Amino acid sequence: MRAKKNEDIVMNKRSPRRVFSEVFVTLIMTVFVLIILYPFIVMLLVSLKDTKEALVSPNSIPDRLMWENYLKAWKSMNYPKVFANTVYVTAASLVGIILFSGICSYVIAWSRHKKFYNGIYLLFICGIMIPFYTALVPLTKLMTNLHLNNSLTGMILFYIGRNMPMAVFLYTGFIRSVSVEILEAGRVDGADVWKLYWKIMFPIMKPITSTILVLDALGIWNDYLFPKIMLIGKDLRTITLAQAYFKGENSGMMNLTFAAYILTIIPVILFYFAFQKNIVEGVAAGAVKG
Amino acid sequence: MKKKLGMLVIAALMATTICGCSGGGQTESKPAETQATQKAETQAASGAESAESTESTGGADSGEDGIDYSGTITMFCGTEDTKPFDAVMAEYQKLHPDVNIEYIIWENVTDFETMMTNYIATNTLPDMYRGQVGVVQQQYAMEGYLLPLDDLDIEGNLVNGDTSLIKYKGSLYSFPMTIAYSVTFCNNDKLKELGIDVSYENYPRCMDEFVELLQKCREAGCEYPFSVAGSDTSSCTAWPFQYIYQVLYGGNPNFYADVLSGKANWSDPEFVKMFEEYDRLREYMAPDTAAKTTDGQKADFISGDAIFFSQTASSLSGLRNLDPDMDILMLPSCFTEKPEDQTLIGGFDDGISVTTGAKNPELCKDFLKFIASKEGCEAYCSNSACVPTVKGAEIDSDPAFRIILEIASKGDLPNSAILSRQWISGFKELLKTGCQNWLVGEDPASVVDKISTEHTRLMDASPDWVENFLADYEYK
Amino acid sequence: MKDKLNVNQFQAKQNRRRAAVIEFLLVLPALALYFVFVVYPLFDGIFYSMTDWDGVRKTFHFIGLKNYVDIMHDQYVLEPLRNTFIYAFFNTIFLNILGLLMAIGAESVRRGRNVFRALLYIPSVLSAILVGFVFNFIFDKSIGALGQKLGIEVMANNLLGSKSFALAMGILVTSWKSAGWYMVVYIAGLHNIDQSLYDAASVDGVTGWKRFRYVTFPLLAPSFTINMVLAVERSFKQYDLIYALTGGGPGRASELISMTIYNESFTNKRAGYGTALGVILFLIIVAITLFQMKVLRKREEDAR
Repeated sequence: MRAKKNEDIVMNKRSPRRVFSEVFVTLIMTVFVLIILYPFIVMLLVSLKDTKEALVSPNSIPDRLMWENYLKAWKSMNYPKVFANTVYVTAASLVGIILFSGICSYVIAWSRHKKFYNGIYLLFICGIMIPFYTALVPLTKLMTNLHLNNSLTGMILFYIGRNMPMAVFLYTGFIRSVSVEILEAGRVDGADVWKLYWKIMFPIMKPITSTILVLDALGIWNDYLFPKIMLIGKDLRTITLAQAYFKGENSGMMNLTFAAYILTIIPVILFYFAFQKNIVEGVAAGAVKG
Repeated sequence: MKKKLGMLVIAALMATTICGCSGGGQTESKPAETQATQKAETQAASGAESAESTESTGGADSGEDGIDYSGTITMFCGTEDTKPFDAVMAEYQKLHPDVNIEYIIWENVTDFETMMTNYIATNTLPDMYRGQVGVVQQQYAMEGYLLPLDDLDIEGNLVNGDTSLIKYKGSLYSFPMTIAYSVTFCNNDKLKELGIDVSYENYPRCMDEFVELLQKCREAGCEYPFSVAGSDTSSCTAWPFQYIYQVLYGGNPNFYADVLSGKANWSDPEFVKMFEEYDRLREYMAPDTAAKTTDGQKADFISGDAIFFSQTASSLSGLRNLDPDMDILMLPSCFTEKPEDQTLIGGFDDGISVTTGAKNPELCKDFLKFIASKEGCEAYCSNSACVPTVKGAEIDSDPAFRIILEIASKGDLPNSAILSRQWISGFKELLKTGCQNWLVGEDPASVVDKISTEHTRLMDASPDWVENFLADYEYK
Repeated sequence: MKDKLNVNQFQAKQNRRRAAVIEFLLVLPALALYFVFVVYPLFDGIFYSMTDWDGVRKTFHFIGLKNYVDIMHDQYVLEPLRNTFIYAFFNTIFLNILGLLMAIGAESVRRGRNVFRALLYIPSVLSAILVGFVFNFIFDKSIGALGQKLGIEVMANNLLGSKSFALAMGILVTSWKSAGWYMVVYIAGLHNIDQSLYDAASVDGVTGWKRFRYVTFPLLAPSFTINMVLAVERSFKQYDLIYALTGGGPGRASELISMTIYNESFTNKRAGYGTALGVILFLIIVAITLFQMKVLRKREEDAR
């Protein structure tokens, strides 16, 4: 309350120059926001036109709003299935990542066999920088040999493996910063590693868990090349695949394509606004730790 | 001590991992075996069946021989094929109600080849596919990825034509659905608006006449009458391929074989000439051609900003989807120097094959047999705006075909068969890159040099392919 | 008595051993998945990079380091590699400048700070493939039309179709998509700066640019380091956005090395060669990241 009053006083005291500079900053930021929003506006306008109009005069306001485009796009891309696939892959991968990397990091950070687990830790760290493209064909071959190609389960296992290094890195860093007393207290009570982890450690790690969730969720949700190589069946498509194939399958129909695109970005944007605080904090925390 | 133990554990772990994977390798060879046995069984079974069906009249009523098929067929095909296949399937379902079809779509020829490579590598070939005739059929047949179709006894359904590209070692591996003409599309509404008349009597016969026509359009008010979608592989190579079939092969039908055997080269003057001729059209293409997408090209064509473009006749259905009533004309390609050399480029296309990955080969073959029947072909072609290949199939052909069909029926122009569509993998992408380089202003000599070196690169990478091509090649 | 002690010792030892085994079992799932899906393909890749494997057939020949030697003077590879370096270089600069500007801007706005921040971050949650497709359309239809109206010839002719602009446009679109992400990291950095330092600075009469140059920027060093490293790494790993935007064209003017790897591996059926390229990409990323870490960490320490 007092701070607010203080601010008001400061406001009143402002020199014209400061007011000008603030207006200027707001103006520039508005321009930035408009540039960011512009493609969304184009998508929306085009998505409401009829096919010929979308092709021939894309920049105008639609003559008639064709909301039925959305219905057509919804059906054509089999939206519920595509959405369910993507949610399943993303959610299952995230659960796997959190489950395996958390307990693994806990052992790495707290085991008595320090040297051994330090070695393992280093092995994980080396994996952070490996680009996906390095092992494109060997990976394809491996997935085929394990009969994990063209299956969502295969994708999930791969995503868990691929995101393991970063998660272990973040978790281990966090656990090492937790004070020893908390765990020692548990240990005296005679709890074993497993119980200790779930009862005491896991709740403490909440902030870093949400960072990892945020970082990996968008990465998996928006991944394109791996599903493109792995998934062949139409009923296994993920959202990015649906986006990419829709354009080809409805060639020339930019109105339907953009309607489909808008349908596919609505969940992500809703998710973003719902968890905006966690996402922004997660990104920042993850980056600073990394 | 602990360190050693740790090392040991890691070593053990790696060993298990590798063993696990090589174990996977063993299981991998299994499906191939089962596939082979399955194939043998299939052949035996279908041999018996065809013996049976020779007694019946064959063709469309194969459903009446009592076998109840059910299941879903996965068809790998292009965007515009889904409608005709749906139509055929609707007919087929009258005989076998429990059969369904599902599509995997390729966007262009490069995409098709890349995805097929991927499917072969991951052992997940779709049941059937529809692809350009002659591109890869022989290669796939040789490598054992296709089922032979001889036992279906459908070759006799075909009208006369060159079947060499769909056969390998005498067996049929693919059934062509349409006769594809490579043509110049023409927006006749716009031409009429400009007061220019193009008809059977006065269509352009050679390059000079075509350029003259373009100039006339420009003078009448259409600044850029010729259009190419530079960012699209199929569109920016359509003209070069037509030129290759009509002019380059007109001069030397064995050009590609000569390139592969080292007797000719892409940097030879006759190929440089192609880009010089293309240069004459360049002036009539919009300045933003290099980045134009197929959608952009369609937009230009429909709105009348452009009047002509080169493509295979199968693009018609895409245009019809956008504007069903437009007056479109197809003109025979006219890129030769002299009018008397003009040919009509056409041949069997839209080949349908059954792969060795088919989950239910019997069903797929029966479906293919149905497509190859009169009813199937009519259902297919009347929904794809194409010219049918099956004897006796009658459809109301799209008016856009009127000039082409008149020429074909009267035999005015000799047919320039699509002599060889078989190219080394990666060639189309390479030609696209070359054309794009040329579109953004590189001079023909240097474009051709790059094509030549990169083609050599591809040849070095697959010596086996070159060897096989030359071994099977019949010199004309 | 002595025996009992021994038994106890033995039991303790056994307990410890059991604990060790349990510990290892807890690590195992993570380790196994990581080994199977990351480490094994990498080593397999290194092996295949020394063969002429086509990616499909069961047979191949071992050809040693020939692929690596060939890459050194293969125009087909060097052009995309050069593009990738250009792309990474300018991306890093653009993303950091824009990210920092947006962060400072969003922090200086008095009203609607959160709204600005939220809106500027939105593109980061979209898939790169979608952004590429949409901008492909926008360059064709909207920017082209704008250029025609303004009478700017380069712009009127679809910038993506120009050899000299295609890659640059790729960089701009990447900035559009990702600058918000870098902004968020910088904002976090700004929040970490102790307000008392600013107060001290204003007492000394240090304001505006000087304050930024001598107070804010040095204290942003950790955020700066991380943003530089991540921008470079991500640029080298980029595929989706440029694939959807330009497809590498016109010609190969905007082809990145990741696209070359994909094309070589699948389209041209040169899996061995493609994998060798992948290994080289990996080495480049490691080298640059280590170099950056060294230089930037040093700068960070100097700043302290």
